[in-house]
Amino acid sequence: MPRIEVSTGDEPGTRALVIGVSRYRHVAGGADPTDTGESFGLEQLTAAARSASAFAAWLLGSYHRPDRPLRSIDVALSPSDGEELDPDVVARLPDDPAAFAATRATVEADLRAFVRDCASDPDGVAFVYVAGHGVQLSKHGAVVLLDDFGAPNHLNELEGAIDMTGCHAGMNHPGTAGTQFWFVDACRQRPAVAQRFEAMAGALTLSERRGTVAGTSPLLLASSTREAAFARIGGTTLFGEALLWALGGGAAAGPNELDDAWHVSVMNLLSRVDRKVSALAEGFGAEQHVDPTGRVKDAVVHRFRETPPVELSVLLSPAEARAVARAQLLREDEQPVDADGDGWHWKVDAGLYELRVEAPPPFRTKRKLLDLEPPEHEQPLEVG
Amino acid sequence: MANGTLKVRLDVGSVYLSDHLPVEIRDGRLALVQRSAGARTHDLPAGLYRVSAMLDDGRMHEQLARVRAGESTEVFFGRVGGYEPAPTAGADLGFESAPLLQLEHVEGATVHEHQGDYYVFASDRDPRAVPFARFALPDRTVEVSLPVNPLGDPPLSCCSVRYEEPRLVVALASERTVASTVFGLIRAKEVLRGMDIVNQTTTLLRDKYRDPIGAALGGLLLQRLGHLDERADWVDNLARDFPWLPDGRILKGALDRLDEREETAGAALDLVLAAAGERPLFTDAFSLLLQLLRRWPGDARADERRQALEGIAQAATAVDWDQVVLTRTVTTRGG
Repeated sequence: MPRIEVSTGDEPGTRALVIGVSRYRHVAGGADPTDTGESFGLEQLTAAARSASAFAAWLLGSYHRPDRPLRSIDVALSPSDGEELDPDVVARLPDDPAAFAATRATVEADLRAFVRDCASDPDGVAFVYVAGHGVQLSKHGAVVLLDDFGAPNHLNELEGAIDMTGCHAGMNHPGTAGTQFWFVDACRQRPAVAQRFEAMAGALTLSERRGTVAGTSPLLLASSTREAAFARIGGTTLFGEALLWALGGGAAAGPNELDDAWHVSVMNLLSRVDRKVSALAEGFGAEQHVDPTGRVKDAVVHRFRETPPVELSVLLSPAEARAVARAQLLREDEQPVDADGDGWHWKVDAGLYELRVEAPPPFRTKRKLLDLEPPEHEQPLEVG
Repeated sequence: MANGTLKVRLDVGSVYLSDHLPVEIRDGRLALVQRSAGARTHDLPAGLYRVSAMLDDGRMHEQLARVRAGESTEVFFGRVGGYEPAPTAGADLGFESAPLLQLEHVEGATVHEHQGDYYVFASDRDPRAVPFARFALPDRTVEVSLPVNPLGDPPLSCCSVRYEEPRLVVALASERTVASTVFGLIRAKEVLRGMDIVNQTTTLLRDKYRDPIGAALGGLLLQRLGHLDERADWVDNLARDFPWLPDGRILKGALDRLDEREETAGAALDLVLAAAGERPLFTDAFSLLLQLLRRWPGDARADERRQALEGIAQAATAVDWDQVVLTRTVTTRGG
């Protein structure tokens, strides 16, 4: 059972289950294709395992909840040939990749350990991140196929799969981690494939209990309609990229009633990740959306150690004004902030500022209030 | 530091919404200083502020302001007209080329206006089922449920459908301001920020504004986000009072499925099985129906559930899950 142990203690902590499947050994292009596996017409993926390892690396290196320190990450990763996993994560895993491959047996053992530990810490936090081929049988249903999907010894076609909606529902009850965050990043299959799984027999799941989780348990389901729009070649999945962007500051919120420090809240995460994924997918001429479901209440996902910085660039037009104009960025108290380099770039704490640009005729002098949210802000300004 | 006042005004075409839509004020460090609802005057230390308000399109809109000591600063948010333009009688919509959208069939509603690729439907007075229209698009034929309101007169009964490649865009008449805001909230993914307004408006939509479509959508949103149990009484009414709308009965089934009383859970399963033979209005209701049939607790009537699933399996694979109203492809053309 591949587990990264991070800390121990009796106080509430954070636990994670991270699964990424790019390599499918029993489908076309795999090491051991079977008739069953090949009949689904699936392709090998290139970024699901890397994206999962990037999320695990974020937990290890950046995640900050001093009141809920990271305890452990249960990991199952099946990279495709040549797919590089995050080195910080690999360094903490067994040398033999087969020991942490995302097969049904490994994932089941991981899930069992994760569920057990979450049940022992009802004030704790749980993260679940799963990426791979997905079968979407309803708007908020997601089954993710595992490494050994299509294995000849499986009794049911979905035995090599995990029903994420079922697992999420099975952890929505009192007596387990009261704050949970679920992310499912699935490359959605064609309708003809999805139809074969109508009964959903055999997929790994948890039984549903009465009651609801004490706090929050949002499930963000991202499903790409096309494999080409699922991930960047040699990069991460679009959802993985958007999620890490959001956690890195793109969904940062200033102090409020939840936390007196800058933080990422559920509320910001829901709207910002969807917008980012849509924008990234648009670059591929595709559509991708993130739909939230679950037991959703606002909560702190991640806390920043200090006010996150923003890189501001002022894009002055017409371009010739730049040679004669002078810009000042003023804080709330009207004190100026030093610019970097050419006088049109600043790195400042997130916040509200006033930009003053003075330019001699025929140009005009301008004043503008700026809302600088991390991580960057480009401000066009016309003085012509 | 001396104070000034910041007057926030909202006028979104509905007195109720103008008084209740969420407003946030953050200071120069972007720390939250006020969370309120609707128009208010705030006494604040001099400085820079960001005012965010949810408007009738379901999205958060922001304005920046400087409050000066001893002075009053006003920030005004006006109506943004909903997610789509309101159906406007006789307007020149500028469709010059041949339309790409052909209406083949409509049931439970009539065409109220039509210009090019833009249709406005009004509800029949007493529909027996969820109204729907079948459209031929360039590459496929689709059926779309129509969120028209049989309890209103045009424009309060209307919805519009237009084609924006590659899909249909369905919108409520902007005069249905409250329901339209719930519609926009879902599209804008501001569901959590709008939770309070959804909670408040679902009852209003059912009773005062007589728009069960908006109420059902609000209920589905509350269900999706795990808050439907807080509105159990209201779901009962929605399921009972609008028999032509299976979405309400699907919600009731979801609410009661884990009830400890065998009789209540059994009645819930009856509702779900019956709804499997009908066309829901919203994609969320259809998705919920599928999940209930697949994941009903225990083995109760497993054969019937399996048969019901088989009956709608084909439709399920042709549904566009990214649409708010149920939209499915019925035939595709090559090319």
